[in-house]
Amino acid sequence: MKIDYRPIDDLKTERPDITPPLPATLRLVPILFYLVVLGGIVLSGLFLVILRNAAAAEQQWKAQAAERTQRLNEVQAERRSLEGQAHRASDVVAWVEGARSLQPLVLGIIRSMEPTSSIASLGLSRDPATAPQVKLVLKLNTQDPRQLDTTLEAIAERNFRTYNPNQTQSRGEIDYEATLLYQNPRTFPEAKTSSPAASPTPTPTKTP
Amino acid sequence: MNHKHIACLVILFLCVVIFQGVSMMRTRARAVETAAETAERTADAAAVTLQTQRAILDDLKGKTADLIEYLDAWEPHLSRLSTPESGELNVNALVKQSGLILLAQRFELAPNKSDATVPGAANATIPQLVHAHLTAEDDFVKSLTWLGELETKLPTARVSNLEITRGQTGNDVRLELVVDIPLAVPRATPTP
Repeated sequence: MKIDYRPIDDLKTERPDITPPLPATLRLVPILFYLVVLGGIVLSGLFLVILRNAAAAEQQWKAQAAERTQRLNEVQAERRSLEGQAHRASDVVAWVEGARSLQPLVLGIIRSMEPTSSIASLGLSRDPATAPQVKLVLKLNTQDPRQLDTTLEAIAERNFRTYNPNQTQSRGEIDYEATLLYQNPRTFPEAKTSSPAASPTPTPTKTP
Repeated sequence: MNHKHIACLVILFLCVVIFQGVSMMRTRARAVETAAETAERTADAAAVTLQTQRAILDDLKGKTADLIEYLDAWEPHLSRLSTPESGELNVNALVKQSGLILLAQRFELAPNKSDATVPGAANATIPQLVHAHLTAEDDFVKSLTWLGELETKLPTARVSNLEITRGQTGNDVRLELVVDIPLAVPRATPTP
């Protein structure tokens, strides 16, 4: 009996390859796979870091933008409030400038009367459209030709200037009409040459 | 195609999947980066706008300081006469206090069209007035003292028409006047 030289533990019988070997170029496939896996891990890690940083930065910038927008809204609200108050103040100035006391003016006119003169009637009126201007209508009984000048000086002493005067005189009676405009010499030094029609935006001159 | 070819294809497919995954992650990272840059630009733009608005506000504060101070000084007088009744009461109290002989009085509520921003429209701050039509005849000194007190104690009241003529006797004078009492809308609370 012939004894086979091969070890007896190799019970597998010799068989030819079932499939032919792959071409040599396809040996690159596993290398490519390893490279792709390695590159994927590296690049994924890199992109993950970028993603997290960018997300954090986005949140930070968004929070800053929201905070600045909120501050902007507050500033704009304050500005609107201030503009509203300034508008209200302008309205109040316009009103108050047209509410200047007339009593000192009346007293000045009355006290300017000489013993030979008397006031038949004294009228002061304001047009709502031009309230700072006072329309004066004065009827005097006088024989003194300087009486009207004295009265006008008394008016000027109270810082009222006369515009568009109209005067008629007959038999000891003087009818005088004029528009009076208050001018504070400290506030309106340049206004002495301006006409009432070109009056500037009301500036506070009357105090409570 | 044998199993070795299939194995190669599977491995290549896995490579493509990994590549696609990495590519998607890159796209996502780029998108988030772009969003972050947009948020940064928005924040920067908001900062510039905020700075500009603050400068405008500071400028406005400087320009309106005198006006606001003026308004603060007058506000108590305006708020004291906020209703038609308060206007009538104040005028009547001054008449009684001085003992002036009042011949006639009439109060009427009317819209205020003076000093309006738009001509002819109602004034936004003082939309209404109380017109007090008063006729008095009394001593010259007493009458003019009362007129002075009226204008001093109600400084916002505007004497829109005043007619002084000789009275019936002695030193008496006849006063016919129209006093406009402003009824201002309440002031809005200023933003702190």
